[in-house]
Amino acid sequence: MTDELLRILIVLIGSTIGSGGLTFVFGVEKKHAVWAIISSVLCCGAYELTALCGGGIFLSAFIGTAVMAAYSDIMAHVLKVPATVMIIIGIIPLVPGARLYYTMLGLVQSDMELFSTNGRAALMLAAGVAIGVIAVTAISRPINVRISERHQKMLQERELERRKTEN
Amino acid sequence: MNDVNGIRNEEPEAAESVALEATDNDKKYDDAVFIALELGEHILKCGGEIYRAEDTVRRICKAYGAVTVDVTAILSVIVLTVDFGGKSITSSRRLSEFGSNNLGRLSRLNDLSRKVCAEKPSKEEFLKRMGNINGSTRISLRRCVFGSMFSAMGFAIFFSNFGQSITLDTVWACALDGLLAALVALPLSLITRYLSHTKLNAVIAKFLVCLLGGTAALFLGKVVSQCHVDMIMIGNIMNVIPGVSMANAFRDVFSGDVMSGTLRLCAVMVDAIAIAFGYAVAILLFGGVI
Repeated sequence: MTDELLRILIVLIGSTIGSGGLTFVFGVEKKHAVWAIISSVLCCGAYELTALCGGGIFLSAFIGTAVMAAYSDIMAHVLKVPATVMIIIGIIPLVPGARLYYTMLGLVQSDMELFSTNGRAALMLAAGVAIGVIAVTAISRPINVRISERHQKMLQERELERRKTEN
Repeated sequence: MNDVNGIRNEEPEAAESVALEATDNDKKYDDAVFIALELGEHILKCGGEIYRAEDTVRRICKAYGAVTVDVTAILSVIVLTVDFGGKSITSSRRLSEFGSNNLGRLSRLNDLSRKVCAEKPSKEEFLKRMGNINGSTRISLRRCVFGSMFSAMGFAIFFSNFGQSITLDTVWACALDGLLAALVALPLSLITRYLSHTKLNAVIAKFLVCLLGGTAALFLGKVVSQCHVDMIMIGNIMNVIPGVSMANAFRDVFSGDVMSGTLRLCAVMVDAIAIAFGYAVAILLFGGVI
């Protein structure tokens, strides 16, 4: 059990440092950087928790991405920043870098078992991420449109009132 | 000015003021189209989604008085036709590069587009603001290099649990892998930055960087026997992998921009093949992975 917890701790530390580095590379503003790193840690944490509860690669990737995307959409409204900023930083740990590397290694070394296991895992990860992003976008996009329309209406009403008082 | 019958002829002055107003409006509409396309282009270049760029162009044109706006954006071009109630303007912008993400600039451009819709500045004023944003959100070489090193270190540690159990004894080996990955990332990020300023094809550049990365990792593996060459390579792969494009491709396809989403996915596959080839050739040339 302690080994498992240690493993999860290493994963979370790794994702914090990794996404911290990426906030520099992608030029994320300092005031948004911490929130972007939290998005990445949430993603990894949700993935590991789901895997610990017995979910496969696809389900873990789906839930990890969905949690991260929901958090990003909420923080986008709070911080007045495009959700893209946090989704991009948050999604990188789930991008199947290691799986693709081992798929390639299996091909180079003619180890078909390595190739097929990791190739399949990479596809499942990518599919889980895709469906997770789509599922959250499907819910958040209509909500964002409603909020934006209400905001526009409020601005128009204020403008009309201002003109009335001026006249 | 009076005519031959002494009757005040106001028509030339009225015609002159109408002509002046028409010229002012023409300039306003031309400015609107320029500003909309400029912002749309930069939003796409910074890593924004297609729907965001199109929405921005639409809002800006409507703010400047457009009646109908037809805008189509894909990764390589934005085409816009605006009808300002009688005057119709069609314009397009060819986008020469994409994928160099600058998220800080994206959020500043988002703010700027809101301000432009509210204040409707002239083209000159807009260009001044754009210049300020471009200047202040430039990613310096130092920031890029440090970021790449931290990112490689972080992901080498992140993936160190792959295929092996982590115990208190092996934790230090993870840290060593992280440090060596950061060491390899230093020259790689400098070379990537240098190659991005040359005319070299982007895919070939990526292949070369991965080849060098693989070679450096294999060399370090022979020199420092306790490290895992796999982890050093994977840490540096995460710096070049097109994860951003992959995420945006899914979001574009779901938003209805199937053409752009497919284009992005194709670009992702080409990039992934270049990365795989780079590391594969390094492994084939310089022996098996330890």
